[in-house]
Amino acid sequence: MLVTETSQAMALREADRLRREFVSLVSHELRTPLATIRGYAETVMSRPWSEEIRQECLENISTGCERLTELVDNLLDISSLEKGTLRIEPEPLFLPDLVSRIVYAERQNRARPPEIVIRFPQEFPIVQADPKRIEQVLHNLIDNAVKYSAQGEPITVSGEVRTDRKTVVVRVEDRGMGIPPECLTRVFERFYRVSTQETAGIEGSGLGLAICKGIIERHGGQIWANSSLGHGSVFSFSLPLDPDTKPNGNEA
Amino acid sequence: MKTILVVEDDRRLARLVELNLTAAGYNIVVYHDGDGALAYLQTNCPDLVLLDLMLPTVTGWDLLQYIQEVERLAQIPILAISALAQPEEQQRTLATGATAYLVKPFGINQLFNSVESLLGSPNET
Repeated sequence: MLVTETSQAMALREADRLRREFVSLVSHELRTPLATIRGYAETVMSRPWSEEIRQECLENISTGCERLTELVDNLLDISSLEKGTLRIEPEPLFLPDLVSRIVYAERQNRARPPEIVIRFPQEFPIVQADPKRIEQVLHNLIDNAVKYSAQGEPITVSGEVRTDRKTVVVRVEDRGMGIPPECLTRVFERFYRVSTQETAGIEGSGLGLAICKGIIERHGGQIWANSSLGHGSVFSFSLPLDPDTKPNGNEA
Repeated sequence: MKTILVVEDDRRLARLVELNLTAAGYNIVVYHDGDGALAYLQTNCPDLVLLDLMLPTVTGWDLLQYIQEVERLAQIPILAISALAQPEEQQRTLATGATAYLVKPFGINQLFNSVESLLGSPNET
């Protein structure tokens, strides 16, 4: 009995610690785009700048607003997942096309485009999935791969059909810093972030992977990670292939 | 002209500071990581360092410590700029050797006031 109470108390304390850590992380994450928006807005009004610099300021304000919107969206997604009301709208989806589109956008949107290799078999089946949500997952995994790798380290996005032909698996593989084994089981937890000397300064709210896990599980799939410290990580997710397979719990 | 070393990994914020302080008449040197700043400090002695704290690999606190330890650099005023808003973080940073602490998001006037109070106006000697 005593043991149960102690472990419950420990779990509560841990939950409370994570919540407090989350509040300070969110505060930090909100402050960075806010600093961009406030700073450039005040700058553009402060002097008769050249047209070129005015344009640069306005673009930065716009980007800051996008980052802030993304963060607020993530917070809403987490809240929906907790309440079980996250909407999934499945439709026939050809994953290789979606991956190409996301990778193209990644290359366009970054000042120093990452090297991303796409590997899908020539014939790949169509799955039933929500394109926007799967895009969100892939975007998140690729973004993490870029964030936790050094400049120039290649990232591979690949797909395969499992031999039982009931599931497809998509993997995002990097050759970055990797994840310590003791952290690997926790990376999909809400608010959890790997904290090592190497990850210091890398921004994140600890929400992305928790949202990915929620989305994939709502599709009836699974998500998991493998990693070798110092050599890179592989994040994989599976999606059921049988068109009759109903997405997991789409009652909302 | 007074030289300010700006160490900030967020490129937009680094550019924001550079744009405003250059227009105000300071000479600005920007590094987006601690390693670059460390290499710069080995052969240069700026008049002020504007330092973000959460930097990859060599952090702002590492740089703070380095500057304190090198006699040639120890007198340089350091303005820490961070999104870490908790009083504990500010106290820890000031205790490590920062002269002042500016929390993001900061106003342009706050930036000018902090820099001027630590350094004097751009052309003062």
